[in-house]
Amino acid sequence: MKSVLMRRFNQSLLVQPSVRSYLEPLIRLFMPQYRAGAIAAKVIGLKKQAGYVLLCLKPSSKFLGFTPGQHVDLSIEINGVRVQRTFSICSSLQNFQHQGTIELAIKLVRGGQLSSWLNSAPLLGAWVHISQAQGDFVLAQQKPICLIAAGSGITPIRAMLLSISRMTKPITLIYSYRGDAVFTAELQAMATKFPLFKFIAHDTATAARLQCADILQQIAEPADTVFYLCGPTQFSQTLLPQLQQVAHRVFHESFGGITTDEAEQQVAFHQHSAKHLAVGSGSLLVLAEQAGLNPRYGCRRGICQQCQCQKLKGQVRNLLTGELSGAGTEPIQLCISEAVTSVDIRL
Amino acid sequence: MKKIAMTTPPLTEETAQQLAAELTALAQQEKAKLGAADARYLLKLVQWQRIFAISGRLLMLGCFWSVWFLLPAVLLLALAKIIDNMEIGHNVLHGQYDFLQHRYLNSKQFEWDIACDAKSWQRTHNFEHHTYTNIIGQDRDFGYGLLRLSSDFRWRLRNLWQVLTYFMLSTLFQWGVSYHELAGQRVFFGKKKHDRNTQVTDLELKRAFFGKGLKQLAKDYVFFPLLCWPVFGWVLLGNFLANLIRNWWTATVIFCGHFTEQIYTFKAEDCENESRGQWFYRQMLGSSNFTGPRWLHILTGHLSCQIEHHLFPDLPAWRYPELAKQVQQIAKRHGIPYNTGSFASQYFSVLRRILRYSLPG
Repeated sequence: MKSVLMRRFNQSLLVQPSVRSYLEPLIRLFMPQYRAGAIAAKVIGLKKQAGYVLLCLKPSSKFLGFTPGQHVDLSIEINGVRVQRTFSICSSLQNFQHQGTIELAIKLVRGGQLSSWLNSAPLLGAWVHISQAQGDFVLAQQKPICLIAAGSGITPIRAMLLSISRMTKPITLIYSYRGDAVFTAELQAMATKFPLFKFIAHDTATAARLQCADILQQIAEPADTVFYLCGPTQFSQTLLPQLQQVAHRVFHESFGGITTDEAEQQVAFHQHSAKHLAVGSGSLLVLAEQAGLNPRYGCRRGICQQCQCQKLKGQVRNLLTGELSGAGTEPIQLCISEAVTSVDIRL
Repeated sequence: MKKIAMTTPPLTEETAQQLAAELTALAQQEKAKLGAADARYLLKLVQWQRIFAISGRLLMLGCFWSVWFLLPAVLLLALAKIIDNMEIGHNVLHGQYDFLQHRYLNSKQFEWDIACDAKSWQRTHNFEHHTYTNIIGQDRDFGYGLLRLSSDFRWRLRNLWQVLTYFMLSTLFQWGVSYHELAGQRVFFGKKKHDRNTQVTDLELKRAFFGKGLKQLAKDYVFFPLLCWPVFGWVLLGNFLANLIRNWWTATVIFCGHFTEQIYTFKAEDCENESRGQWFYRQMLGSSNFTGPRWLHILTGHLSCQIEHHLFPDLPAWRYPELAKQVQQIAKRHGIPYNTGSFASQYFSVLRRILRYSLPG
């Protein structure tokens, strides 16, 4: 109630969403890293490990902490443009409590916007911005646990494991990767330290893709085990239904893996917390309308920006110029955009 | 009397294609340059706007000691409002800075210090005016349904005193802008048009109109005066004058962009299924520029480069003066009229047009 009143008050008096956003430009005169509505964090460490960069950040006191397994939105400004991606915190809670730092593991992608930034700029001491930690992919240690990670899916799981000070139930970790594996030495060391912890590395560069049967082989009583699944969408989509048949509790978190060019792409329109799926090619505006949605539009030819929406993930092609967009969150005009990968859009 | 409405010089499809290709290439070339410079420019602009606004409001308190404080205070506040409406508001709401992914200075979230609701303005301005520029009957910005500015409109008796109507419109400009969409949709008066396709209900329009309007009135004429109680009257007067100066200024700038004598108008049937090149062509013929120092460009929100703005509505406006040189060359090469002149000459040209069409013919 109070916050609604405050917002009304700010909107009327300052014609701005908040006092902070009204004053931000002035505060930035003497505190250049200040951004209203975001938490400034200083880059204090940078380590490279097998195709990943471990970014060590010291967030300002506005950061309220996290539960291992949660993620933050990381915003950096590259050539003035804010680029935002989501990363799981991969460091332990103890680390944050003692040193006030968190670590994010960023997989290097050739030609990726973030990867080139990580490689180029002098980053130590630079400022980035993060959100508060979010997400409900967190560990509960009442039952035997099986953790299954694929690729960068290892990051939240590392935070969970490192934050455990006393292991009371058996924990099995199956880590599937192709070539580039991070944290393996550390995880091996953990396995020797904790007798209850079992670590299985599965390299798909040499072995076949991880199957549900491979997982169940390692688990004594699947029905009594809690499963945690984290990896690319395609990975969790295949394993999730199979695991759910044998286990009672499966928690999962997936992130967008880009599928390659197909003529027809899956488009997810998010509107008022509902998700509408559509499959097809051509203008996203037409696709949304065919799906029975009624997005705002104007000229339908790329002039007026009335149909502009936030693309959450995926790549689109500009139908006027043929340009390809980036893969992250950015505004697009529905009427002149076509999906080239599966795309998520907030209407 | 000289007849000033001109028939549009024909454009061959070949020239149209060339024009489209050249202008698109120019836009692409400029888009590749977008980045840190635009972010810096926007930040500086907002910093100055805040400094002018805060110092203007504080100086008004000085009326407690001397009435002379009112003069600089009003000028500073008017300046803050002009920068907020023109160079920040108009351009941010066009989506020119959306590529920066700014948290709140973007076309989805920005609100401005004017009576008009930003979303309503985007519908009538970004969509209607920029898509159907100067097409009689489709672009209601042409004369705002109040003034007869070309022979395409039937002469009525009230056009005789339309110079006074123009002066009133300028004086109340922010309310004219905020009522614009409601007038078009015949929310309160007039018969509804059946062919009008709208995604907004009358109720939503009324809510936006009264909601934003009342907020603005409460801010400038109730809250801030009460906050400075001993000088209540002076603050109220100061805010009124600042709004008035802003209204006159914005109206003047906008009239110079579309209603000079050498402007062309178009018929809806000629623009059906037009190509991209023909659209560009119409934008060039339907707009006029004026020249001046950099500060003048900034205070007009770079609408002094109306032609470039209409060709590239989503490029950051501070880049228009540089683009103008190249656009002018392209126009010259294809023999397309490029309407520009000094601020004064363009303004007198507007007055002549208003006067000319006060009379029949």
